[in-house]
Amino acid sequence: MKKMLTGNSSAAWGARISDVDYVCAYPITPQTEIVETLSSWVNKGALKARFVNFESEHSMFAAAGAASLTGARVFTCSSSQGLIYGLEMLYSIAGWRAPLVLVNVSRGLGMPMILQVEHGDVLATRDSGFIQLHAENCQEVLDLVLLGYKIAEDSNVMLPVVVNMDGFVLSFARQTVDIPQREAVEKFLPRYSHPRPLLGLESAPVTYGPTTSDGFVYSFYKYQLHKASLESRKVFQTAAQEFFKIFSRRHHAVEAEMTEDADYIFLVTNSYSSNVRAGVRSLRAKGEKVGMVKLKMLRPFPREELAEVLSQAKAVAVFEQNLAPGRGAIIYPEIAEALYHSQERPDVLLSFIGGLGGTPLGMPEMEYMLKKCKEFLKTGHGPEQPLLLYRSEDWESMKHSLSKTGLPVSREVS
Amino acid sequence: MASNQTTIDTAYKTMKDTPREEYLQPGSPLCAGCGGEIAVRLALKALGPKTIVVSVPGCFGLLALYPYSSIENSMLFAPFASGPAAAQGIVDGIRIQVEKRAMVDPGSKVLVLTGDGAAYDIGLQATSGAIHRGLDFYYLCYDNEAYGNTGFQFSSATPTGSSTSTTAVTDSSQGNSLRKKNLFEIWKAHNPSYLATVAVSKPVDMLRKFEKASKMSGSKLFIAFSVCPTGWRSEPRETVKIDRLAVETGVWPLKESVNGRVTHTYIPRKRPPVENYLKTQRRFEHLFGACGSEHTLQEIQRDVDEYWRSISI
Amino acid sequence: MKIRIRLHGRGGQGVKTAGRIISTACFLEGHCAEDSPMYGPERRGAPVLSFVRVSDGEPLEERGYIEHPDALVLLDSSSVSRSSPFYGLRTDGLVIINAPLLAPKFAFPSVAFDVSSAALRVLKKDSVSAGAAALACKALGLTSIESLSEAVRMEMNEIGLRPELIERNVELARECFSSVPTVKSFVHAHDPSPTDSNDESSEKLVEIPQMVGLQPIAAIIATGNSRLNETGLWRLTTPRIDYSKCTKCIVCFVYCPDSCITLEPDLTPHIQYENCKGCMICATECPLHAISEERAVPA
Ligand SMILES: Cc1ncc(C[n+]2csc(CCOP(=O)(O)OP(=O)(O)O)c2C)c(N)n1
Ligand code: SF4
Ligand code: SF4
Ligand code: SF4
Ligand SMILES: [Mg+2]
Repeated sequence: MKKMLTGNSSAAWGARISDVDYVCAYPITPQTEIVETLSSWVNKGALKARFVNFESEHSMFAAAGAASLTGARVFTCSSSQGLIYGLEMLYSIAGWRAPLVLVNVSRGLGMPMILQVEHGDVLATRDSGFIQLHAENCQEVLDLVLLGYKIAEDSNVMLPVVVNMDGFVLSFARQTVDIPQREAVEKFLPRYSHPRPLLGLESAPVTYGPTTSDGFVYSFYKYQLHKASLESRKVFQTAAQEFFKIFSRRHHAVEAEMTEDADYIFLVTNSYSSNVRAGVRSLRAKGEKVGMVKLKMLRPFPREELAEVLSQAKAVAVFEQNLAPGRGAIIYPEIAEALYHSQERPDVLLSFIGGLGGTPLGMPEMEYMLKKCKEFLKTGHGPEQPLLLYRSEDWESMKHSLSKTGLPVSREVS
Repeated sequence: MASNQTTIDTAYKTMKDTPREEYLQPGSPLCAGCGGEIAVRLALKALGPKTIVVSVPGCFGLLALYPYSSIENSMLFAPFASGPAAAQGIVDGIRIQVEKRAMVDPGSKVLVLTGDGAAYDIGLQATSGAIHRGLDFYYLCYDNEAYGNTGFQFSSATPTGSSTSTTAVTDSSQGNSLRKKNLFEIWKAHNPSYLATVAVSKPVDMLRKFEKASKMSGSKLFIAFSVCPTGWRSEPRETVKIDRLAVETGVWPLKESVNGRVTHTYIPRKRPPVENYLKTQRRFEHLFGACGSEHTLQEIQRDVDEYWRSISI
Repeated sequence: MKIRIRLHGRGGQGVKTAGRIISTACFLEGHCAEDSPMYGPERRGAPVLSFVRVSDGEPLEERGYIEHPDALVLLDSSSVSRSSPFYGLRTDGLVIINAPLLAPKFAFPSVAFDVSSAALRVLKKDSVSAGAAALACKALGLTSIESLSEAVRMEMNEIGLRPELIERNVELARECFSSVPTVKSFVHAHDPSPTDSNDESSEKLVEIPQMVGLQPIAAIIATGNSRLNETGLWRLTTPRIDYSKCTKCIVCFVYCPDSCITLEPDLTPHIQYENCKGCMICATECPLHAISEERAVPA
């Protein structure tokens, strides 16, 4: 069944066709539409699940994780400040090895307050043990929710999954989405069963989350968690093949396009992948040997796949929508590490930051990134990184805004 | 303000009716003479084996200290502020599977077990949410009147005059200058189906309260007076004695609230001076002796007197 | 000179304070010193360690656990039977112990003094940290009595002891200091480093496997298994039931925090000593005074 759906309603549909048992809710823009949609379905009986409004994200995540341990299939979602408010819980959910799917709708963090996209929120959870899948479009949001449950609940994985989509740009964008039939989904996603559910049975007691004072115990379980996360790469691959067979849509941890003969590769995640694809096509039409790589899986980090698709290029421009003050971009060093041991690797690896708060990514940015890569290749000297993609008209608007703040005009630091 | 001495429908008439089954097992990492541990032990005797315990950081989080667990019941250790929310997940997770998946109802109960730090401070919001949602669960707060596990720092349950490691006694301060937060009233304002204070020196009263609560659905909340020899700097052997003194001097009223109606289940008629209680613990030692504070002592006594006057027995 | 000292005792005994006194005394003496305690999340009564490293000026470039100490300080003799603390002690290492003279015989040179009795006399309680620290400072020839006394004052003040009690602790320390000899043989010519022992090779490292099923999940299904923890070893005093006085009122059973009292069908109570922590609540509460107290004798 094809329908026009927003990113948010695609997430809700993903939960619905996964036949989730429990929905834990707390509002935050730009995610709220997901819980509103699920709430109305539960009320109408279209989805047989328990829907609970919590008093905070911290509590919402706590309940979500605990319910998963009882054997219920759990769905929850959040964004930005909410995700970070509950961050403590995310480590525990992963430590409990409680599979569930959390949809995050990316939005900026801290001050100035903004509702538009930045990936700092979801990336702050990157070391929690959650598996991370990032979506480009509404169809992917739905598909990744399904795939999310499939890998989360795999007996060799048993880890929670976060599916990420961009706030506004995707959460509120409507696109055509193919909603799979219930029977097909049942075939793909069998019923979740926990090997030792927390039910309070006298015959099968269990204690989850014990304390330890021993480094060897802590190391052991942390390492097992890491191994399970790595294992999920294989599980994802198999699941994606099965997904293709049933639903005819392909998914890969790393998706390379037009890279075979490419000298220059743009690396991107999430919804701006579409803009990059359009830009790459235009540049190709002008005779540039460019291609793109979309990172769909951020955790576990698909470093071998990345090394394979990037090593042939002369230069790689890593485009990211996050800014870690004092560091730069968050994923860039991980890419560099992925390439470190490759015999062949690009001469130039440049870090670009843009789209913060939803600033545009179009041809000007694509041309600029390409130009910078070429300059670097030619001169052997690179700019200070990361480079912030900031348009001149935005700078004019910014100066105009500054003049309205009442603050005295300061001289620029040169 | 009737006392419920006349309760008839109970399995617990005297101490001899204390259930023999043990769910709390020997060998816990808790201090010798821990008063809160007696409370947990009695609570589990009343609630039985199908009780899933949710514990959080605090001394009693150590009831699961890998690779051992000190209770036979199932247990989940959750972050500090999240006990009641995790309980909600368990209750809901089980209920939906029974309703939707035709799972056999395991008939389990969920007991959140936290210290005062979690109950009065960091977890108050989560508790508020859970009670408000009418969650069918039990909450036992073992109140040792400070953050014990981290070395006995001030919490909002710390009583006036108590020294803690963050309310030191100096020339200008007599330990904690704030009053203990009234958690009973805060919880009561949420209209839980059952709410009670308990003290282990009155084990029959305590067992009956759990028994009564377990016949109700909804939120059933308990605040247990919990003598902490380590933090209070009292003698481990005197734990129950000190507990009894708290009840008899009126410092720790025993009461319950059933659907909002408060009854005192024991009324200390004589009420010896609070000194008798305070003197048993070195956290109050600065109140006595040459440089002691008459003023603080009077304030503590006045608060107790005022309390009992206000309930007009 | 470089000396590594490992202190053994139990939570509540002042192991950490003893370590701090030694290291502060060394600092005051002009040495380079470092101390760090090590304890688990268990509450009072469980084993606690403290580590002190001292040098005469060289930087102390090692951290963490002392696996091969030059000296052990045992805050009570029962820790010998409880936890065999000698592991890793260098063959020429020294054992410094709070115990009656000549009581224990070890395979190592030892210095013993009954700090507990002295403490009971001087402080009116069995509080041995200052005394034990004094034994170490003297036996290892680390500090003068002045540096030691000052260190006791500083550390006891730090933990908030009243001035008169601090002075009595100084008195105890001085008594202990002058009661033991400095063990001359103990001066190391070489500088033992933490990596110089030949039982340490890369062979000791393993690659741990990825587990399957429930094992990679931090879970316990043998719930209630803490019985295997012999918390009976924590006991300082032991309750004994005089069955001729006992009326089987079960009061002791009701109040034992650790479920260590079991009842026969006729309600006769039995104390389970493997786990009884010796809190003595049962003795205090027994209405018939049928439970008496024995000072725990180390097994
Ligand atoms: C979010 C968070 N903040 C702080 C802590 C540190 N912490 C662990 S236990 C504890 C004290 C708990 O006090 P209380 O709830 O009264 O229990 P008690 O230790 O007295 O048994 C604290 C502050 C924590 N674990 N988590
Ligand atoms: S510190 Fe207090 S509450 Fe905690 S285990 Fe010890 S006696 Fe019990
Ligand atoms: S409390 Fe005393 S009299 Fe009662 S059963 Fe125990 S030992 Fe016997
Ligand atoms: S001394 Fe304490 S732990 Fe031992 S039996 Fe008596 S009450 Fe129980
Ligand atoms: Mg407390």
